[in-house]
This record gives sequence, structure tokens and C-alpha cells, in this order.
Amino acid sequence: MSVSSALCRCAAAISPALPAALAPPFRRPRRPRSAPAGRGPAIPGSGRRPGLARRPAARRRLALPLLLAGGLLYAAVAGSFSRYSWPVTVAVVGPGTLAVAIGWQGPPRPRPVRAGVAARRAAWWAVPLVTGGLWELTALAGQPSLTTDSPAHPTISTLTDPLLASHLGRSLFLASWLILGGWLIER
Amino acid sequence: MSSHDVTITGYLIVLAMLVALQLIATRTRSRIPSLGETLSRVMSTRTGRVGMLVAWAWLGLHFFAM
Repeated sequence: MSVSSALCRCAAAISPALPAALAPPFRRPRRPRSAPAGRGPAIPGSGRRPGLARRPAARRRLALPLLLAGGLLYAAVAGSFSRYSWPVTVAVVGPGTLAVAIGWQGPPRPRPVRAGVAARRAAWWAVPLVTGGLWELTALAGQPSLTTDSPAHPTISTLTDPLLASHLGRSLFLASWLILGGWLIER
Repeated sequence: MSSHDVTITGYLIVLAMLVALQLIATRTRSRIPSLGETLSRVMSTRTGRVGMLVAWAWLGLHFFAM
């Protein structure tokens, strides 16, 4: 078993609700007209009866609030740890590894890219992103050393330090980080 | 204007550029794709998908992890 497939299996075991919440809206399979719901023949290859196929939809409806509650709880607990400590490292490495393992499997559902989204038009976004990166590097180069902040040339990390000094700030940041990760997995 | 202010202004200009691009992409008939569409395109390959998620994970590690 490869490392990636082992991670994916681990991801599925840790978070069984996530794939369900991210799955496309469930469509009940068409059943033969002659067979009444729940009593018809089993769906070929599935081993289930058509009437039982409604359950995943209800499971998914439950999964989203559970995920939101879990995310809030995670942000509140992980935000209580001080930065650069072992507990918060574990709290960040866990979701990060899980997300990469899920991402390795591909998108949760086929998502057609809009026709005409050519690479050269998408490259418009590279202009501010590269500019921002270079600006950050310039500020970093203006520091006395890589590990010493400079008030005259603050990096984004330096600017966020006051925010991340409080429990609430860390929790808000971690909740936003988690939402961003969920949004990326959905892409 | 101090160098601190210049640095902050630079970040704000970059942020304004990002917001403006998104507004142009979504509110006008421009052919510039929105950020979501761009990311969908980038993440349509496994390399892009894993790359974006690793970048996201790095963000959390950078701000919090040892």
C-alpha cells in the first residue's frame, strides 16, 4: 500500500462525515415502475433496495451542521494553545495532512471548468499575487535578520502578531484557515 | 511618510488590486475569470490540487507550528 493511499484511508476513517458533506446532492436512483419503493428488487451491484437509498441525503444534512460545530470547537480549543507549541502544532498538522490526503484523491465531484478560462486570462491573477509576494520579500529583506522583526519593514507575519496574541484572535484565524481549506477541497 | 507607512501602503495596494480584479471578473462582462474559476482551473490537475492544499497547510504551519 502506498503512503498516499494509506493516508487517504486514514482520512476516510478519521472523518467519515466529510466526504458525505462534500458529495454532490444525492439523486435517488430510478427504480423500475413495477417495483414499489422499498420493496423492489435490489439495485444491481449495490446490494441495497431502492427505498433505502434515501438515507445518505439525511446523513449529509446532518453532516454539515456537525462539521460546522466540529470546526468551531476545533478553532476554540486549538486557539487556546500558545503559538509555536506542540499542541497547536499537532492541531495544525492534523487537518493539513487530512486535507492533502483528501485532495490527492481528486475533486469530490466532477467540476467542469468554465469554457474559455484560458491560462493567459487566469494569469491576470498572477499580477497582484506575484507583486504581493515580492513586496513581502522586500519587507523580509529589510529586517535586521530573518528571525528579527522590523517595525520599519513589517512582513504580513509581523502585522498579524498582535491579532494572534489573543485566544479570540487565534481562534478566528484558525476558523478562517479551516474554512479556506474546506473551500479549496470543494474546488 | 515613514518606511513603515510605505510598506503598509504596498500591502493595501495589492489587496485593492485583488478586490478590483474579483469585482471586474464578477460584476462586468470582462473575460477575466473570477478567483474561484481560476482556482478551479489550477486545481483541475492533481499537481495543482495538491500544490494548493500544501500551500494552505503551510499557511497554518507558518503561523502556528513549531
